[in-house]
Amino acid sequence: MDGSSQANISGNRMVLDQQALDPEQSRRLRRARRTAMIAGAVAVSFFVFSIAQLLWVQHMGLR
Amino acid sequence: MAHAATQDHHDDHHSAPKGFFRRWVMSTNHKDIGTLYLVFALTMFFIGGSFAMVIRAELFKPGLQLVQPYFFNQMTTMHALVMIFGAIMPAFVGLGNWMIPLMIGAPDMALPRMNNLSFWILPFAFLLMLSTLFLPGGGPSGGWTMYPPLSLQSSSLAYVVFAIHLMGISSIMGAINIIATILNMRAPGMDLLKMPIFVWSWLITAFLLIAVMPVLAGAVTMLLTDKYFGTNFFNAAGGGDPVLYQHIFWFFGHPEVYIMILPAFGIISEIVPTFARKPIFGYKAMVLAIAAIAFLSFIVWAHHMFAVGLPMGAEIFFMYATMLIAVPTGIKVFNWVATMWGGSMTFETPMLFAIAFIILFTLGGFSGLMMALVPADFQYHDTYFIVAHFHYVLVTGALFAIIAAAYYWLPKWTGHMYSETWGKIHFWNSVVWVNVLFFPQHFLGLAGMPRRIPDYNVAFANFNMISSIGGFLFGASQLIFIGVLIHCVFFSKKKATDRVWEGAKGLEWTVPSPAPHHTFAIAPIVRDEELAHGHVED
Ligand code: HEM
Ligand SMILES: [Cu+2]
Repeated sequence: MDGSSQANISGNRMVLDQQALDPEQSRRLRRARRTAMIAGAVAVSFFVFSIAQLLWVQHMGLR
Repeated sequence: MAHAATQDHHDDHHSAPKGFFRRWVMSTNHKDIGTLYLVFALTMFFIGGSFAMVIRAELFKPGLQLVQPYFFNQMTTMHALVMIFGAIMPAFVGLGNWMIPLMIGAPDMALPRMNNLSFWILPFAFLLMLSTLFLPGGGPSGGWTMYPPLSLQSSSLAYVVFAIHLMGISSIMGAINIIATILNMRAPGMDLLKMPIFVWSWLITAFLLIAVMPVLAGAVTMLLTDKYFGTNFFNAAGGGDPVLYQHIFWFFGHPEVYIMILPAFGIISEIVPTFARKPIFGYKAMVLAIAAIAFLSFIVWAHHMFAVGLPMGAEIFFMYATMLIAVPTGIKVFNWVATMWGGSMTFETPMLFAIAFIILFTLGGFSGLMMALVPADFQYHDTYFIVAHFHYVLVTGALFAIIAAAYYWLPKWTGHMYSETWGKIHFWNSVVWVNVLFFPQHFLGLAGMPRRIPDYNVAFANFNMISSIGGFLFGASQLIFIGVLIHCVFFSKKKATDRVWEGAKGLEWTVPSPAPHHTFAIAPIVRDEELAHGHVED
């Protein structure tokens, strides 16, 4: 479960201590950056593909 | 580093920056950036609206009266570009920025500085695009679809292409941020299948954006190289093919129309349960339906090209694929109605707009189904029937959902209630005049009136006059909205409670109204009863 390791359960309320959270929060942010990089790479490859595809179609005389 | 044991304590140290420049231009706060997006979208809505008024004024009577045909074409092109990329899309991004972190219990978006950049690119993109109207040769006039060879004749093409690149970069960065936020920043216990449907709809929309905005960028880049760098992608004389452009454009274009409606579905799925005081009917079916629509949206693009002369097999494939979309869409409409069924409903302004959405969006879906039939579309294509269709799905669909969302969350944003009386006046005027404006356009289209023309046969005079009158009054009705907004933000004395609406559920209603500058510095406890859809069975 997402990030539950950072929570101390006291009663039925989970208390998060900022200081204790810090490494966890930075881990989440690192993960978020990685997600963003992947999504960005997908976007760039779609852009390249859209043009490369038409170059290929023309080159092969497929139209 | 500040030791924030409680949220209040935290707020003392990190309230909104004082200076105007620091607060708004340098902002990395999801709420402030959300506000910037919404204000930008509203401004663009009125600029695009003023172009629409020029169009309807020219079409008030047959014959040319107000503007030159060439300028008229610039108006139709700019109206669409401004409304799609400047008003509807940024409005949804603004709502997403404001509400997604609040709904999933995150302290902010995952990449706050990129968030700032995504927004601040937009004003420059639109200044660039709008400036072409004042240049010699004028703005783009070949339609928002920019089909070559017509679009290549425009002297402003390079400006428009660059503006579209900027908007595309902005949208892609916004989408990346939303994906990174939703996948990584949820509060403990906020499993994917417990997220509010608005968050789900934005997650799926963000994937659509990542997949198709680069394709649009590719298409317009090829227009640019065809015009200025001697390539022949779309030039038949040089071995290219103009129809290839249409394929690429609509591979972007059809998912794009769903980019403009899926977040609207999400909004309606938040509002209806609140005012019916019942959990949403069929939560998982709603999520799956959005995903199914998103998937199908990639395999229907050629329904915009039935009349270009596709092979018979392609016509049939795209016809059936298009008709399939009606299935998940029907599930959604059914579930909204089932949510209301037996609920104890009240009809505050957000709910009125939501109900109007359900009815009128469905009407637009029905005309879409008619156009999905290949032989029928040969008749409808490029007529006012198409114009009627997409204005039902986009104005009474996307725009009404945005307005509904604004009324719904305004008390949370501002801490004040808007005037319910004036909200209702705004609603009834909008819903009446929008139908006077767009319904007759179905008849005009069926009778054969082509779209994108400044003059027409006298046979079409009556319905055009009715449509124009509806247009002016719909436009005027939106001034009421401005009044309601200004009153709510600056003058309203009526304080909003934290929950605002009796039936409202979800994390966003557990924070104070107005939502403090920083929320969820401490991750919230997510309890199933708190969520709009109640307990979801595994
Ligand atoms: C049941 C769902 C839908 C079906 C079956 C459908 C079908 C179609 C078809 C076949 C066309 C092309 C007509 C022609 O040019 O001859 C079309 C055009 C269009 N549709 Fe839809 N549609 C649906 C939903 C939507 C939605 C939800 C939106 C936007 C929110 C939308 C926006 C548009 C736009 C903007 C155009 C015109 C594009 C242009 O040529 O400028 N449609 N639709
Ligand atoms: Cu389409």
